[in-house]
Amino acid sequence: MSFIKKKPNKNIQTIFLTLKNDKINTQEKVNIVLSPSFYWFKKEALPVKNSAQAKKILPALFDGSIPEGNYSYAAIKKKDDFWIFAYDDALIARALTDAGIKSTQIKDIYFSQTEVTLFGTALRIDNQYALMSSDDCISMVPLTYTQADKELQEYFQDHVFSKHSLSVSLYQNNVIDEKYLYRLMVLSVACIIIYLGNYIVLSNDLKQERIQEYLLGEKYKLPATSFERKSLKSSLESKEKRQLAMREKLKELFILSLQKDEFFKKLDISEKKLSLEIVMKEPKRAEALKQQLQKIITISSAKVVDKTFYVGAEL
Amino acid sequence: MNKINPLYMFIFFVIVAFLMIYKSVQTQNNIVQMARHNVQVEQDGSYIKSLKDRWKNPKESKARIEKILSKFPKEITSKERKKGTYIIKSETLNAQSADKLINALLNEAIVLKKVKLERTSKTTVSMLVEVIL
Repeated sequence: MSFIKKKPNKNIQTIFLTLKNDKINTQEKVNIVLSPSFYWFKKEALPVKNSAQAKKILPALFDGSIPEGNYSYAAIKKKDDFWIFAYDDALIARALTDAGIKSTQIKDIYFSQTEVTLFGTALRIDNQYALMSSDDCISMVPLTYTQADKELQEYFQDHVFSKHSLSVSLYQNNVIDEKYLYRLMVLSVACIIIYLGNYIVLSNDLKQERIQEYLLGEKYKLPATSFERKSLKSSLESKEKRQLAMREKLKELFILSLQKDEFFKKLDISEKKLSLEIVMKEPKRAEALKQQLQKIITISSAKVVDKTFYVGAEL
Repeated sequence: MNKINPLYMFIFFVIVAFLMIYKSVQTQNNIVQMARHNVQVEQDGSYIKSLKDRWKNPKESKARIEKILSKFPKEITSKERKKGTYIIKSETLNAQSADKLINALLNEAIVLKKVKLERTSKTTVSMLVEVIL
């Protein structure tokens, strides 16, 4: 696997994390390089084609050769073999917390193994330890065991990191066990998918109802808004009411009880007004006729000229 | 790359799940409301159509008037159409014809603007009926 070299990012500090780090006072983004104390490393030829396949068999490969514990694994394909790692997320998380580094500050975390290349030299970590390479394996040794020519920080100053950063869980969930969380997450996702499907179907049904509303409007040639429909209905009902009232008034007038030789000379009716001329037997009949008419209409004017009774009314 | 805290992911998915449930329930309620609304629209539409057919349909009104007038060819003196109204005149109607004609007009679903009856002699009346089309 070839490395894709990134340009060194001079704005990001590199911190070499050991099991005993002093508190680091920085709020900037940092890259973390793990000392070999944090991981188990092996070089092995494996009967698989790629790192993803290799990762599946790593627990079995490390089983029995490392202390019992809860490990995460990583595999990197090399030319003829694989570099395989086992590491404890909780241990790394604790060391970072002890060093005062927040998870939000961390850009990437790397193994020393992938980031340090030494050709016969050693790198001085501090007054006590150095990093050296033996048979391609990077290890941390007491300073007295080797001669360190260069400082580790100097090495990382212009270092271009590989793409082999590791995935570390930097939290400690005390509330629920992680595997139960993942199961609940799967349930939640299933719920989302079901209700999303349901929502899509319901949205379509709602769309159908809206189309139905539109078609009903077209069928009955109704106005667009319910307010306009109400107004139209009201105006048509008023019209009907006035027309029926007019007819009712006419019918009642036609059956008005008149004496012999009495008759309607003129009748003029519209929706709003009525005028009537009744020829009476004698002028005294006006009062009786008026009383009969008042049961049918609201008289606005009434006068008697000779034997003719002139009546006006508002309807 | 660091793993995202599964607890945060779980909370995120739970929130999204609740949102989906809420939207589903809301949409369901909207469908029920819409269905009720459409039933009401259908009822209103049918009612308004019947009202319009009776009181706001010029073509139908004209047809109804013509049908009535066709039964009284001799009695009708003139019939003219003017600006959305139909004016029917009859100069000399006897009592029986006047009774039949006026009844026919009153019993039909036409918008009467004006009805004017005048006794022209002991046995005849003149009639003017103005109908809005």
